[in-house]
Amino acid sequence: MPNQANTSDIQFRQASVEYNFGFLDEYAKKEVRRSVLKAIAIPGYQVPYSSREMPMGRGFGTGGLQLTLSLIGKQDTLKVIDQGSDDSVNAVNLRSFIEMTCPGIDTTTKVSEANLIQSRHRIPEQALREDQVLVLQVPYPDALVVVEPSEDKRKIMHGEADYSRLLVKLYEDIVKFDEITISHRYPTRINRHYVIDSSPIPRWDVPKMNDSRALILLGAGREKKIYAVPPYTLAEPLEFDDVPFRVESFDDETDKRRTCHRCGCDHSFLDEFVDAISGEKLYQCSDSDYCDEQLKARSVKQGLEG
Amino acid sequence: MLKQDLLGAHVNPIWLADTQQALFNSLMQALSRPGQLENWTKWLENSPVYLAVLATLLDGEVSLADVDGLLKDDHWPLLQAQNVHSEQAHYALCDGAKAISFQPKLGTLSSPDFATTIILKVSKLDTHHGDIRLKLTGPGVNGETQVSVSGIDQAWLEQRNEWCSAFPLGIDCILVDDTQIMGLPRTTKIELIETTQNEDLN
Repeated sequence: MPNQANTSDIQFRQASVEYNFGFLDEYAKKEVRRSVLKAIAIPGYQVPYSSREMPMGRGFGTGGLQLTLSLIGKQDTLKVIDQGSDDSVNAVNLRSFIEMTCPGIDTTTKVSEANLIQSRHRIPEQALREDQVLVLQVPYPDALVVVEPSEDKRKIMHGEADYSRLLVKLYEDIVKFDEITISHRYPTRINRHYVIDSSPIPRWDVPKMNDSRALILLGAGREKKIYAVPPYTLAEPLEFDDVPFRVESFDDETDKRRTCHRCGCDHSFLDEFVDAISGEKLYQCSDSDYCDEQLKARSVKQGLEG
Repeated sequence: MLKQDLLGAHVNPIWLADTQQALFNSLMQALSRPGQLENWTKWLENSPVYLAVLATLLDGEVSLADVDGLLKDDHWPLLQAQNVHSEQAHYALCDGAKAISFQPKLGTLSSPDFATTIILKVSKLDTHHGDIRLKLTGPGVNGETQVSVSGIDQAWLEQRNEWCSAFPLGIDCILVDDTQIMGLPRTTKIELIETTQNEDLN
């Protein structure tokens, strides 16, 4: 992809030679890498690491960024997603920063072309492959923080796989609201032991973590934690026997599945927009690459039929 | 890739940042997918694989125990790791053909990451043939997989299973032969299904 239009080529090249490849020094990368291996070996356990200062505010994806910068090499092709889209502010700026500090890498907006995908708030609709690695940016890594303020105690609870208080919280939700009120960051149990905060992905994406073909790494820069869901690993959202986990419903009042107004897709996660002029509600695929692919497939099909 | 130092001397690629980036990605895949063999021949240039693993992971912040004396004296300054006793080490380098001589750190319940990672040298890793045939299941394995290991004292596998019996405590292993590596994180269930060592003797 072309670099950001407002950065001239010369400035861009000058900036890139001033930094080590990947911005971080090699010692920082090695520490992140060692933590990644521990995270893979203990699925769902939050490995502490000394999150470095990055030239952006903590909470804007510094954890995911440090993971990406520690993993990426010149042969890699990167895709950066923010809320399903490659064009929103966080994605554009992170991609531009990585392009500047990692000369020689390729970037793409297509899931199929990328081998390293950094994402905020979504897992791509298209199933990932074994050779791909998904890096998720995480603001709050600990699912137990809603029931226990002390990190020392939370670490013991995690070690003992004691999630009774979290289950009570979910139960109380059902008693009060007839529904578990966690819409995103849904607590998910990995390999029957650790419960993770699944990062701010919608419930829709949680089942994609189960038995995933790709390795999923989660990085929290502000909270200084790295954790992982290895490939082919059990990832079960917390639920009760009589209240099963369910994903968002996109049915309308007549129980008909809403479709994307752009590509017509009836099986993807939809964003709701309000048309500024007519005031009408519109629905569109949240995953912009998937929407483009569906649109292309539809036009090819129409072309063939025509 | 810069393969010379400032005085023009040849630098072995395993000490260079971009090789280490590629090796780490291979190591990460190996540990994510137990039983998958990763071949490192193209990066090695006559270095032993275990040295490349150590070069990729270690710096002055962590400690290493060379339990069976596999390293040369001039490797230590390059690795920068603190040389400590095997029972305190973050990383331990061992020869799989020799008997186990120490108790590694298994981590604690609240910090299971405070455990030793063992780099275990064996004579041969192979998908089909070898002294000991293993069945692997667990995270990272799609159903089950089988792999053969030669030149390893069977006691290592039994002791490893014992050390890893109380998850989340346990040790993580990286098995290396002359050209390949294989990851065995603590979550992998290892079942010994066949050993041909005795048949060879007959």
